[in-house]
Amino acid sequence: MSVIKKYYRAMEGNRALKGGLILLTILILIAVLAPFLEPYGAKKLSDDVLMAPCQAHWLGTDDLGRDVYSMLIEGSRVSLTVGIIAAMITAVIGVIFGAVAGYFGGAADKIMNEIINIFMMLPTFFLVLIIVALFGSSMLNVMIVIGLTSWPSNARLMRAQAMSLRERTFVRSAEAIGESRFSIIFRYIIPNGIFPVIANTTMNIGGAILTEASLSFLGLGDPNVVSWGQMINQGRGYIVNGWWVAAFAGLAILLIVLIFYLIGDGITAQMNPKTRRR
Amino acid sequence: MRRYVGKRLLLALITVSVALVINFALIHLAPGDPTKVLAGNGHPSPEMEAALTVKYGLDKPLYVQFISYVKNLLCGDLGNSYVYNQPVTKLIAERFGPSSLLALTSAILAAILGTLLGLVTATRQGGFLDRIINGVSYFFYSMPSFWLGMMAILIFSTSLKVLPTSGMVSMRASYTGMAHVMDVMKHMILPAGTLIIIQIPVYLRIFRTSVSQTMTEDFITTFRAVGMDEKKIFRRYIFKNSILPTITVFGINLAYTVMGSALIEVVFAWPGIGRMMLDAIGKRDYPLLMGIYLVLSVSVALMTMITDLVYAAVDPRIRYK
Repeated sequence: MSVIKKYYRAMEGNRALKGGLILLTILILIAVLAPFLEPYGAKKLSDDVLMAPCQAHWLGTDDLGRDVYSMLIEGSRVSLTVGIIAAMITAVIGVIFGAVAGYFGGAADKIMNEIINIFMMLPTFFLVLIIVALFGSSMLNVMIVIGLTSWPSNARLMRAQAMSLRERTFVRSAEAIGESRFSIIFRYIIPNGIFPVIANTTMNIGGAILTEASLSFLGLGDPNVVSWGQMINQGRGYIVNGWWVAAFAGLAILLIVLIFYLIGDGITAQMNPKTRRR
Repeated sequence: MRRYVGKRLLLALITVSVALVINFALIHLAPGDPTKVLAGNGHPSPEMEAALTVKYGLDKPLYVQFISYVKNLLCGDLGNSYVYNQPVTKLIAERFGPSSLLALTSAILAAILGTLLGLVTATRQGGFLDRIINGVSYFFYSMPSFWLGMMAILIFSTSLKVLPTSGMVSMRASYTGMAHVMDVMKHMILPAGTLIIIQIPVYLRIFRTSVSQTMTEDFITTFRAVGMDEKKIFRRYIFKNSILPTITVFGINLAYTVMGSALIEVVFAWPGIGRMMLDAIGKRDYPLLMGIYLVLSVSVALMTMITDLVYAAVDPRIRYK
């Protein structure tokens, strides 16, 4: 309990981080408890087609008579899963790639740095689009492709950290004792330089959620799940007499992405003594 | 400087090659055999299959295939679209105008407005205006662009009926001259507005961060210490030193204008490259898809290079590093 209190006190004044974390907790609870919170079941069809928001259907129904509120709750699972797993992939690749490049330096670093630069120049969203179009749009594919194409920003951050850390005394002493380079990277470089990567990865979650939503909006999402992007795509067809389907799904995306950006910015502010509020 | 230019040029070349390799690999790794992918059709006729086999040397070893693939590209042959039954290059060229008109206009306006707002917030950090603008920018930063576009249509076109819902020109009236320009402009308000609003936060945040970073530099503190006029410090030193990241982002955005803004073009039925690309996905028109992707990769690599060079010309610190 005291640990939580300690962290809570450390966040004093950092409203972005505090608010973001509280909202995230609520969101995760919603996603986990989804089956209990859905009044109708997200895939259950009914005859009440395109009903405007009313007492029975708080947020209305779509063209197949599905309850929009239930669909929104179900969709939180897709967004969270895709966002978090894709971002984790970017974190793992970025951290290892960046740490190795920054710590080793020299020719290895030069080559690896140019690889990072090249990947940064590739048009990510369209690459994702084409790969998903060619290889099929299962959720797994979407997550992996987003992860494999958006790691360079993490690698860049980790590389900069590793480059400064390797000059520090504690790393130098570990080298002098004769610890292997492998263990230095994993025991000293990565744990001490990971914070900017964590902040950036949080932002990446938001970015991945937006990418997934855009793919689903273009009809390239996983057809077997209910996702917010898909709801907007569907709602486009009857925007005039059923605006609620697309409108609420978009608000949900906005909210979830906002939460991750808030947390990311909050972590950055927390790390920077200059911006930390007194 | 010459070494720097050479290095950038080499990097751009490598990037384009990587894009080529990825493109080539995708055709061959995709489920089904490459003739089917290149024909854009699960069941190509035997004649078509034979023609494609000869053209791309599909019966030869992989490296030979790659060479003939690149050779075709260097001759400006991006293949034929299977849906339109026309050369891909021609299709891209036709839609280049509308795409870049929309994308370029909004990129320029967003850069100017975003930087101006960044200026407002950076000079008033922690103040009332800063908080309001920052909060609002957070919202638009997190918003899916296509959704904002749809909501704009819902409000301004279907409810208020003040602006056209989609397209670039009015179908019923065929205006010429000034009337045509006005018509296009009217159709552009919503899509361009959406793009501008979505992009402003990017410029705002970059400029604001950059300014706050510059403000903590030692030479600024020195100027303050010797009592230089705050306004003069800002205009002469802070602004110039902070605008560089904005140039980078703007340069890369310019590169993407070739592509247009796919999602927004779809929402507003804008007749550009982005929309054609998504059509191509829907109809499994792979040659067209690959062609567009290649053109985009090349333009991004080129623009990044040009931006880097502009950067180096403006900022001597980079050249001599």
